[in-house]
Amino acid sequence: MRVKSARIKVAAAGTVLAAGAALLGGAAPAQAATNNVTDNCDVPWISCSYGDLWLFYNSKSIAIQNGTIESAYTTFYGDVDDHWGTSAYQGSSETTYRYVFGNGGNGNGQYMKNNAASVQNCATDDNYRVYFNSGYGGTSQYFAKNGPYGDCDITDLISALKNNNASSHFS
Amino acid sequence: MKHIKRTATSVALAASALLVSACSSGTSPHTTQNAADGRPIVNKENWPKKIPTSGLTKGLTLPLEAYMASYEDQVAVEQAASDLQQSCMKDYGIDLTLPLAGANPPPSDNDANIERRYGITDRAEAEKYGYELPPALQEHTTQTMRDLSGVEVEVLTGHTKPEPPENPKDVKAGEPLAAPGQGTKPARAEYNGQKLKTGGCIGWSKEQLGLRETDPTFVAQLAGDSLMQSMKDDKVIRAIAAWSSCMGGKGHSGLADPYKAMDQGVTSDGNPTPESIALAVDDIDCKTQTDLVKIWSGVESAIEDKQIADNQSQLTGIREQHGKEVAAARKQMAALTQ
Repeated sequence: MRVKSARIKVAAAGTVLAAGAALLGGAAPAQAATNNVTDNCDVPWISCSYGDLWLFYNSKSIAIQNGTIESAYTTFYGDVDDHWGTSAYQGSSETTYRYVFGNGGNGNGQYMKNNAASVQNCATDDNYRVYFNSGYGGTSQYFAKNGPYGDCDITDLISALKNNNASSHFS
Repeated sequence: MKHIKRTATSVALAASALLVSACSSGTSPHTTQNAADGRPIVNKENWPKKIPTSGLTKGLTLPLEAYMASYEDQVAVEQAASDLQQSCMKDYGIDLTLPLAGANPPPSDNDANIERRYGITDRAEAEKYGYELPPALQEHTTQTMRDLSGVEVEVLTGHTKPEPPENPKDVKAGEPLAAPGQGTKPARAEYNGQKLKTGGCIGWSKEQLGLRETDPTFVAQLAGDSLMQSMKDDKVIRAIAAWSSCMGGKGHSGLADPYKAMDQGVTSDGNPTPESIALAVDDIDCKTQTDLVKIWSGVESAIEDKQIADNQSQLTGIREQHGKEVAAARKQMAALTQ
């Protein structure tokens, strides 16, 4: 995340699928929509430009090969208490944003909660942790900041968190 | 009830707070106070306790935590490295103020995440926040750093200035990795008549502190394995079943384990609801009633003791190296204040 300006986008970039009320469960109000986003900054009520914490569908050895990204990924800025997604009422209609992997690589379009295998923290100044459960629960893994003008360092998630990533927090 | 989700009011408020705290751009941001709203940049009151002082995990540690870096130690090493980098840059005639370490603490002290390892455990917090974190842990203090010129980056990092980071959303599979730091070249040999250091001032600071960047994943891996193994233990399985039954008795049926309660109780906006608070309080009362945390952590302690015995030399090496780094960092910081 570089700029916390007042830029709040109305529509999400990347993969946006209107899936209708069906995915929201039986209690969904009359008007509801579900979108998929690959970066939590694309959620209208989250104010940031783009995420620093990259969560890849593949593990390190597959995700980046010969300097090219082969794996789809999701990027997050800041605290995400549930990698499932987020929803909010805007007026009388509830909108849900589900977090998915994007960029066209392996795993593209899949939901990312409990589905990631490796992580890189490209933040200049923010360390992160990834947690086993939503709400920052269970065991966790630390990802040190990248530092100014440095290299992002991709690391495999520990076994307990591989395909069990559920939340992330500044650390 | 699958997720307790509600409106985004507090997110908007939190976002406003972020904007307020972030608006020092263009000026020197590293005063000890946040110029915009008077909050200190580093507030140790928000740092996690090394050992919990309240709730069901009060006084509780797991054996592997002895081999993990505490937040205080992590901050000390980061800050000492930044101080050295600033002083190194100054030797080249470059005035640089790096962000202060410790501005955005985590909810727990290390990877074991003991306060929430078995789900939530602090009733007083649950009564106020449900499954959410206290507001101070939902904020972010932003410290802007001025953009450095090409030569300044070379002095700092030992390599040329990378292209501005590409928006990750614009990167496509099969394209060259366009993450920060890619495609740089080695720095020039000298600046202002002085030879550049190997790895620049950042490399030099690590050398001064003896930072080896040993694999931090090893201990986290063991701690994760320990949790996974514990969930297959008969005593833990029985205790979780008793907790689940207790929850059913309080009107929360179908919750297989405390993590499912967390899934259900977490709200989308960081604001508790009456329902999430009721669930959270019942969750902790059932943990108390079934002695879940004591049983579970007891099983984990035995598992971790064995892990430590099986990996003694590697773990001892990690702890000794870590101890040296923290001691060097504290010495450096003490020297700075004299």
